[in-house]
Parts: sequence; C-alpha cells; structure tokens
Amino acid sequence: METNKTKEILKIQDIRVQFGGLSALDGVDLTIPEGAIFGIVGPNGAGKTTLFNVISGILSPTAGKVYFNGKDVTGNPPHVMAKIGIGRTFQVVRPFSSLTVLDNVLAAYGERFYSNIVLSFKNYRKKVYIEEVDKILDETGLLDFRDRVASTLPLGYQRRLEIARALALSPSVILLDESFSGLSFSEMDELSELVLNLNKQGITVLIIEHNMPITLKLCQTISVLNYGKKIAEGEPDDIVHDPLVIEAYLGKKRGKV
Amino acid sequence: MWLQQLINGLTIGGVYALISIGLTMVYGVLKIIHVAHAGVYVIGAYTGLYTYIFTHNFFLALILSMAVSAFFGVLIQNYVYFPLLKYPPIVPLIASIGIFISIEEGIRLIFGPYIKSFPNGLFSERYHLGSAYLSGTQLTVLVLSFVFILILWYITERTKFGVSLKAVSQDMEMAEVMSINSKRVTLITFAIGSALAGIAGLLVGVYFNSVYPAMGDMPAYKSLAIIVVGGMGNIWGTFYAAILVGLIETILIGTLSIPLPRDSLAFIFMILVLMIKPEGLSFLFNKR
Repeated sequence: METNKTKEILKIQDIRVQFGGLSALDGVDLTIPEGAIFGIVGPNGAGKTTLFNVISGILSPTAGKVYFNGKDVTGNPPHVMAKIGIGRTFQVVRPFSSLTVLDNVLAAYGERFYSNIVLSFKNYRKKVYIEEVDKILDETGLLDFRDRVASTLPLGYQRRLEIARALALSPSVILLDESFSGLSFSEMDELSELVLNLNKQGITVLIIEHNMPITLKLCQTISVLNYGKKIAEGEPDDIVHDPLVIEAYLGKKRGKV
Repeated sequence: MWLQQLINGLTIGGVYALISIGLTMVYGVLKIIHVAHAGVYVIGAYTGLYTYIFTHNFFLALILSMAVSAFFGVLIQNYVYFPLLKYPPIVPLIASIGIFISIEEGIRLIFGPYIKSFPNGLFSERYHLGSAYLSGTQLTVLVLSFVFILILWYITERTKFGVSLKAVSQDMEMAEVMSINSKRVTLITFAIGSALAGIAGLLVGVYFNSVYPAMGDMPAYKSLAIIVVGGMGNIWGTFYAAILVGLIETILIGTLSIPLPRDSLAFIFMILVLMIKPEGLSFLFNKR
C-alpha cells in the first residue's frame, strides 16, 4: 500500500465502537503517515469525534486496535496517551477557566510534570518551564494574554489555547476537532498558518473539519466517514469528485440505486 | 476582652478550616459530599489519643494520626467512592453517610462510649498577652492549624500537584487528555484532606480534652455549612469561611450573649449567605 519511505505514526485497525445497539464506528481502518496533515470529514454523526475519542483514550473501542509508532496502545487511559505524545483539542473549547493562560499550559506539561509522585510536589513555576511555555505561547500568538484568566479570552484565542496546551505535551501527533468552527475569516487564516507551521516542525496533524475549503487547502489526504464506515480516502481533488462522498453529503440522485 | 475573643475565635476557626478544607477538596475533584470525612476526623482523634497515652510523644501522635487518617481516606475513596462514581451523586452520598455511622459505631464498640481525655500535663503552660491569656493547648492548636494550612497553601498554589488538582477539579476529562492521571490526583487529594481532618480531630481532642465516638457529629454538619459559605470546592473561600464562623461563634456568644445555641450560628450564617450570595465567598477569588 504505502511506500517504505514514509513511516506510519498512527495506525487504526478495524475499530468498532458500539453504544448499546448503535454502532458509532463500524470497522474503520486508517493509516496516518508521519508528518502528514490528514483530514477526516463526514456528515454529522458519522463517528469522527468518536474516532478521536478512541485515539485519545477517552473511549475504549469494542473491537480493533490502535497502533502508535508501531506499538499497540489500544485502550490506554487518556493521560497515558497524552504522555506518549498524542495531543488533542475538543470541538467545544474547554480551558481550565479559572487558571491563567500560563497555568493552563503548565498544567498540561505531560511526562515532565507528572511522571513521579514525589516530584509533583515541587514548585511548578520554574524558569525553565516558563521559558518553554513562553515559546509555545509566542508560537500560538498568546503571549500578550499570558497572565489573563482563560475564561476571559475571546473564542479564537481560546481555540489557540487548546492548541497551546496540546503542544505542551510535546506531541508527535495532534488531533484538532473542528478547531476552525465559529472563527472569523482572518482568525481562520491565522489558525491555518499555525497548523502549517506546526506541521513543518514535524508534528503530524489530524483534522476533523466541516469547513471544506480549509480542509481541502490544508490536508494532503482526506478520509470520509459516513455512518461509522470509511467510504472514501484520497487526495482532496479525488475526494470532492467521489460519487459516494457526494451522495453522503447531498443524498442519492433519483432513479439511481 | 476583645483580644481574648479574637484568639479564641481564631483557634476554633483554624480547626474548622482544617476539617472543612478536606471536605471542599473532595467536593472539588469528585463532586461528592463526603460526610464520612467527619468519621476520618474521629479516627484521627482516637489514633492521636492512644498514641499519646502509650508513648507520651505528641509529635508521634500527630504524625500517626495524620498517617492513619490518610490511609482511611484513601481506602474510602478507592473502595467505596471510586466504584460508585458512575451513579448519580445521591448514591455515594448515602454510602458516605453509611460509612460515617459505621466508623462511629465501630469506634464505640472497640473503645467504648465514654469520653476519654489526655493524660495530665499536656501543654499546661499559660501565656499572657496584655489582658488576654493563651493556654498551652490553645497556642499549640493555633500554631499547628496555621502551619498546616500554610503547607497546604504551598502544595495547592505552588506545586505541580496543585495545578493538576485545580485542572482535575475544573474538568476531569480534559485534565486526563492533558496528561494528568486523575485517579492519582484524587487519591492524593483524599490523603491530604484526610490527614488534615485527622490533625483537626487530634487538636480538638486536645483543646477540649475529650475524645468520644460521637465527636464527629457536629463537625460533620458544621463543615457542610462552612463549605457552602466558602463556595463548594473553593479551598481558600472555605478557609475564610471557617475562620469567619469561628470568630462569629466566639464573639457573638462571648460578648453579646445571644440566646442561641453556639452550633446554630454556622447554619444561620449559611442560610444568610445562600440568600444573599449563593456562590459563597468564592466570588472573592474570581479574578477578572
């Protein structure tokens, strides 16, 4: 399938998630090459967020495997997934609202903070950490808001904060769940620039997005889900012309089977 | 006169703070009303009392009562609350009341229903401060309460554990995704909160020189009133609420001789706060 040149960083094998009688994911396979920007699209209820929940450990799949860097990580709790380098954001922003922007990012400091119970009783506001966080804040354009309480930020910046927190984990993969929704055009442009920048630094990006122009512009590969199944995968140009995809979004043509 | 009331109020308020802070921390992370916390407080008092009777070493009594209380707190979290978390909050609440009664009755069975006191000579000195005086026990209680509250302040406000505690209190799922092991944070929270309750039990035992199985009853109710005043789950709101309740009790009863039972004041205060400012003292800490 793949050439040997690109390593696969994340491999999802025949994932099934069953909620009672409803199957949210019905045997999804995905292979995400390292360094890609990979889009996952599909109508509402297609199972995109469920898939993210499986990858980030919030949900244990009913069946199937998740491999990260070749290792089976299926069913690990979320904090383990975060520590090994899978960062994610949520569709609805959820900052730690009473903490400052700086503390929000510090709280997500991953392995370096929480690997050891005894060490976690040491001071967290060390210069080294703060300098690193400042770099992340600078990159995500939040430096001016560093000491603001997170809940007082405008939506666009709260989305950046979500990304900044995910970056604090020094992730190799980040999962962006509709990070572009509700943003103004200029905010969208800034955010896509940020995503491209992160990708240039070697971070693999998985994007769930409803905004097709953005998805088509950013992603090298797009996978389309519908009713818990993958119905198409390929380069943006092929995807938009795929009859199955058009059908999923717009419905069947009359007279056709 | 006023200085004396102030000292008395601060002493009792400090002890209230020690008990209530554990309760509010637990509410913060698990959203459970941990009634059995007062049972842990009784366990702390008995552990301290017996350690002191056998060793005559107050420091050892303090350490052991912290350790044993922390152990019981962690036990309750791990084997009772944790499995019950998936149910509506009323279920762990009922379980908690059950544990509280079991602890009190268990202690009554093992140690008898009588009031026990510390051997003579524990902190019998007296210190004069102008017109007021401070007994040795009072000084010990006052100093120790505030020392432990300072340690707690450092832990919650300055350490990595402190940030992770705040993160878990606000959004457990998000904290998990941000690499925080929420179960570990919860267990440490229980250990710390219960150790504080144990110290409070020991200090109250020393202060009133009496330790008995039902000594947890009043703290169980009163600490609930205090955490409501402090704004459920808010550690420093609870601290100020506890000090305030301690001061109000001593000053109103001591100087104005109000014809109301002392223990009712915390609840009257709670009702007033709920009517005027339902979010409690936590509004003091919401930075803009």
